[in-house]
Amino acid sequence: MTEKNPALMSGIPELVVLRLLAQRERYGYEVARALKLVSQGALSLGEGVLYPALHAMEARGLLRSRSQLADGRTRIYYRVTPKGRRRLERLTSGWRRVSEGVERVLGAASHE
Amino acid sequence: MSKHRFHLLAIAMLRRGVALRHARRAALELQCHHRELVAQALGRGETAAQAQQSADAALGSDPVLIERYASQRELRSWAYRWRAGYVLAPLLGFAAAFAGTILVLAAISKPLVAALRHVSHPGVLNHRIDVVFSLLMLWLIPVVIAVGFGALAGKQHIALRWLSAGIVVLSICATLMNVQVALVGGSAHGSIGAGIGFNTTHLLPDLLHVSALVALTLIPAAWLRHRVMSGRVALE
Repeated sequence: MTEKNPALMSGIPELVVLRLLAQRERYGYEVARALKLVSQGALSLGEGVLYPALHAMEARGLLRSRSQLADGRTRIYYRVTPKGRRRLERLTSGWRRVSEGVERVLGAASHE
Repeated sequence: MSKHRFHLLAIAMLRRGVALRHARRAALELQCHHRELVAQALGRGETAAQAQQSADAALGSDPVLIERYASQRELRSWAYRWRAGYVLAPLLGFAAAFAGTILVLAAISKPLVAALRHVSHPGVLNHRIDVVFSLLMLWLIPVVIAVGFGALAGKQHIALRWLSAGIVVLSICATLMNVQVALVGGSAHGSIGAGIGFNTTHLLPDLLHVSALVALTLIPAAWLRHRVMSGRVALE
């Protein structure tokens, strides 16, 4: 992620990757580009984080992959499995709770 | 980055314990990603050299990439996780092959004894059969097992020390084993005996036996491991 804070940021790569792949199947480069685009540059995943994360999520059964030859390049496309969708729901609700909590704290602090 | 660079990246990942499947795919994906970054940079109007440089920088350094993969437990090979198993696995393989050969021999001993009943020099034949089976079970089988594990260790990029330890254990046990086969001139089923033993009066011959067996097994196994390891990993 752009700003480094291990405690706060852990789990976010998994959440955003699952969210992007839940829309449609993509290959690694597409995931990285879509993340920058959708977050308007606020979030970016380095290749050194993205690909190991994709592999690990596939090993845990959250993603499934297939390879396809396009323009002379072999691309590995990933899509979310039903187990991955359940994981995405849990991560999303967890993140919303944290996010709302932080918003409330920020709101309360500004009124003091 | 050239294709060769990604090949070396995959090899380095294998050496750090990343499973072959993941190392191979990582090289493929990173190579594809690099090409996309170069194309993107060229699209921005950069020169070919600048595009290469910016793509290299965006991809990150090889040690960092390798570390990211190696630190993911799910991506490690079973052989790396259980590499200490290479100490015992050749011995277990030898025990299984030894027991299997004894069982096969026991199964075919009756017709074999019947076929050899009327030979003119039963003592000489018995001795020859005994020597052949001793060579097979106490020399040839350990060599074959060791070479097989050498190839496997090469494929899995297992450190030579684990393979060597396993082969030394295998050689010591093979030296302590004995086998006697008598198919001529005895009972209708012949006799097959095997055991394991140690005698201090045979210490020097046993040590020579172990040394010879270690040399016979370790040299081809280490050579094959090296050959397999230096063979190219298919990236596509």
